[in-house]
Amino acid sequence: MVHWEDVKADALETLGEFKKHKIGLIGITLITFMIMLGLLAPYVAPGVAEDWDKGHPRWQSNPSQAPPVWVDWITRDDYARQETLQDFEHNETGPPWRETHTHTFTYDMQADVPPKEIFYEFSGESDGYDNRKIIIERPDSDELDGKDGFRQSEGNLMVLDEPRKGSEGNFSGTITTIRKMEIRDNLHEDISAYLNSQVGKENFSDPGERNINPVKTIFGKANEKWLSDPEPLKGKYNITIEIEADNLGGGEGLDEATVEIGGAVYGIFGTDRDRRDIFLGWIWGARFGLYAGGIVALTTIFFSTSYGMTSAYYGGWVDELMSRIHEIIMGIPTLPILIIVLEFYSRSINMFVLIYALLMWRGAARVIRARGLQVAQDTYIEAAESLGSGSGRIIFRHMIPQILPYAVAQAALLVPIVIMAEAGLHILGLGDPSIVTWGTILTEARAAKATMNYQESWFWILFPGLGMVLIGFGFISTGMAVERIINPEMQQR
Amino acid sequence: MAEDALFRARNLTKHFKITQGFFQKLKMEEKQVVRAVDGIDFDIQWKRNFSVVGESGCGKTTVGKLIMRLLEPTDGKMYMKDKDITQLSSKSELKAYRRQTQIIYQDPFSSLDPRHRVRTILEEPLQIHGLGDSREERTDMVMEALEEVRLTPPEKFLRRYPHMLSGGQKQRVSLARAMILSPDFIVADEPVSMLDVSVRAEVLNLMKDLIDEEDVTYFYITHDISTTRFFTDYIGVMYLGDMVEKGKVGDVLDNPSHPYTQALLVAVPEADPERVRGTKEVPISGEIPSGTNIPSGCRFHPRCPHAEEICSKKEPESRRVEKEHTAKCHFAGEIDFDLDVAK
Ligand SMILES: Nc1ncnc2c1ncn2[C@@H]1O[C@H](COP(=O)(O)OP(=O)(O)O)[C@@H](O)[C@H]1O
Ligand SMILES: [Mg+2]
Repeated sequence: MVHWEDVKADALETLGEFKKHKIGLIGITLITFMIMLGLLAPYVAPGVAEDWDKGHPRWQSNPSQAPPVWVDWITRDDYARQETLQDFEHNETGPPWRETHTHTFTYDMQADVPPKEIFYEFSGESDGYDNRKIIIERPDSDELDGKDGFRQSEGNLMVLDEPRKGSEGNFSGTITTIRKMEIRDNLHEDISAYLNSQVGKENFSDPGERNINPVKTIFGKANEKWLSDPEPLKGKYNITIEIEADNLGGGEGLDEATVEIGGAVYGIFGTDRDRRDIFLGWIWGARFGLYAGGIVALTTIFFSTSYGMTSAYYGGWVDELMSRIHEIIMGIPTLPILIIVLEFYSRSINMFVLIYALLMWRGAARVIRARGLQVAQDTYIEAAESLGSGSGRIIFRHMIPQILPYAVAQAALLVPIVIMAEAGLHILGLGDPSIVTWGTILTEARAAKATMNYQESWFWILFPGLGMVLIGFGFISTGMAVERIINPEMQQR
Repeated sequence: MAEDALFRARNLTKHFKITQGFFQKLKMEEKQVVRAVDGIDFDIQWKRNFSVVGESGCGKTTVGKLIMRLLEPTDGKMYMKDKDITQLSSKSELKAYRRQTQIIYQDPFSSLDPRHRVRTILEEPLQIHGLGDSREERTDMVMEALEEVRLTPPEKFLRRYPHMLSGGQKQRVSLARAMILSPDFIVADEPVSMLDVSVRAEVLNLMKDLIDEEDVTYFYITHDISTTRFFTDYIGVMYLGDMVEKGKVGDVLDNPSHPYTQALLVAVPEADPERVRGTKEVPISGEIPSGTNIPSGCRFHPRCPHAEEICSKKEPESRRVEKEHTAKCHFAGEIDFDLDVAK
């Protein structure tokens, strides 16, 4: 008979016991926190699991490989933040059949670490358009204009071309483009010519150098380090989008015109090379990891307790037979089965969970059986029998409560093992491609050689790794605390 | 004697087959048998408490478990109020029998479920047997039972776990658990041997008080002969699975007619209910032979100071020494045993 006040007292007492095991309390807190994050994933990051493909529009205006936002708080340097510029000045020139529309946005760059990228997005209707350009007027444009080495650039320093010409005669429809700014092919030539004229040496004669970061150049000071390692040039930048089109519709020529400044830092955990927000993927990783680990743990508790209890309660030939069967199924190798099924049948996470649920209880069952055999010998079991209890009551009221904590402790240790195994499968290329887990993120980081230039992408590896470490620590310390609470003799050791 | 007997055992026998490993079985090795209880008879009458004494390993607990039907007898019969309890036809008959017969275990530390509170422990027998209509009623019954075993005020004990109780308190809870079903017959298997010497007398006194308060009859198992006189009327002395001497406590203790009983008594010069003593070594030479290898003839002969040739050859019959006093010794009643066997 359940007395609620007793149940409450028990719960408080158990918590009190946990308090004595600080590390267990930390573990429980960690697990609770992770579970909450996992549960919140669909609200915090709706649709992320489905949108995790490379190049999904969702991520297109994020910076690539940007460190976490809080790097800005802990370092002395001021990092440019992600920003959307919506206010612009609109101008229209030319005859109506060949209008030229300009939309000028102003960006005040005051960061020590300038933005990583600039994106523009515009959409509108026209009967056809010829050309789109982006012109950037730097704070020092007036000084530089007309200087030796610079070509005539319509009064501004940099003219960035959209190289694709969209015109196909009479085009009519919606134009929507989001793209990283591409720098005009000959811009670097201009810059190196300018630098040569300033320094008077042929030091900057490699205009074809393609690994120069164009955006860094845009926000860089015009000195000898401009191309190699530019210093930030602070001040107001005018970013103008110029469209030449026939009968451009909409009030100001465009339905939508925004410029997005890609932050030098982004998100809680930064972004990966494909601009995906690592934190959003990470909480889904926590969700899927805990889902897989949790299901395997629960089935392990169920199977190992059922097995161990039956074997221990009935004993004799039942135990003997079950032990032989157990030895045989103990021999089934997990990894080959996993590889074969996932490779040839289905890579769904549920398939992985199913295989692990069917195989992982075996180790725990051994422990539970041993403990069950001990408990079955305890006098209070016999006492219950002598009171007239049936086997159901003996098993459920007396034996299971003794054994369950052992099963829980065993199962808790399995959760991190399952999560690591799932991550391992991604490395082998056998992970579920339709979701995102910590294994997905790590495998992509590995493929992008993130480990080799960790200064630029440490966050890409650190956070999924840390997730596993914390889950591991959380469950192992909780499992250990449970073990110590149920088994006080162990404390002396 | 048999007419108003509460409980009778006839040729009660329990042989344990020693469990073998898988490979021993494969090799068809002969099974070893422990003759833990080797064909004993005894009668217990209403409210005439019966003590069983003997060294550890002589089969006392096994007899207790046979009585409780926790073990299946190898042979023999047992009757409770003339009903053959070795032939119970259904589970419900066994359950009904268990309501009349209860057991108190030797080890108070393992006989209470550590995960149940006192209330749950005492409520369990009521639930099993469908007593008490509501939780409140059952709680009242539990409190009553606690009061009976002098655990007062009962409210104080209801919510305790066994580990929050002293050894003596635990044994009282065991007693309450047995008593709550108002049984007729209670097997008490060395109920105080694992308690502190200081609380033994208290618990025994309580058990004695309950004889009249609760109308129970005890089957009191002990290896401490000094406590038998205290509240039992009859005694059986067991040696190596056999009951070698039995009779009224006074008769047996004052006029021991088996050399083994004699030896047990030397260990305890006087039975004093108020100052219950701890266990003493039985002052007879030799190892206790094992139940797997019981000596021929009289099973006590290798250790008996009076053993003669016949003792190793012929198993002694039960000989009547006094009215209701018998001993299984070839010389029972003939030899006036020397009280200084220890020398
Ligand atoms: N379940 C069992 N299996 C095998 N041998 C047993 C079992 N229970 C008791 N025995 C043996 O039976 C003998 C009597 O034991 P027991 O009745 O416990 O003695 P006592 O209670 O007098 O100390 C001992 O030799 C013991 O080893
Ligand atoms: Mg015993």
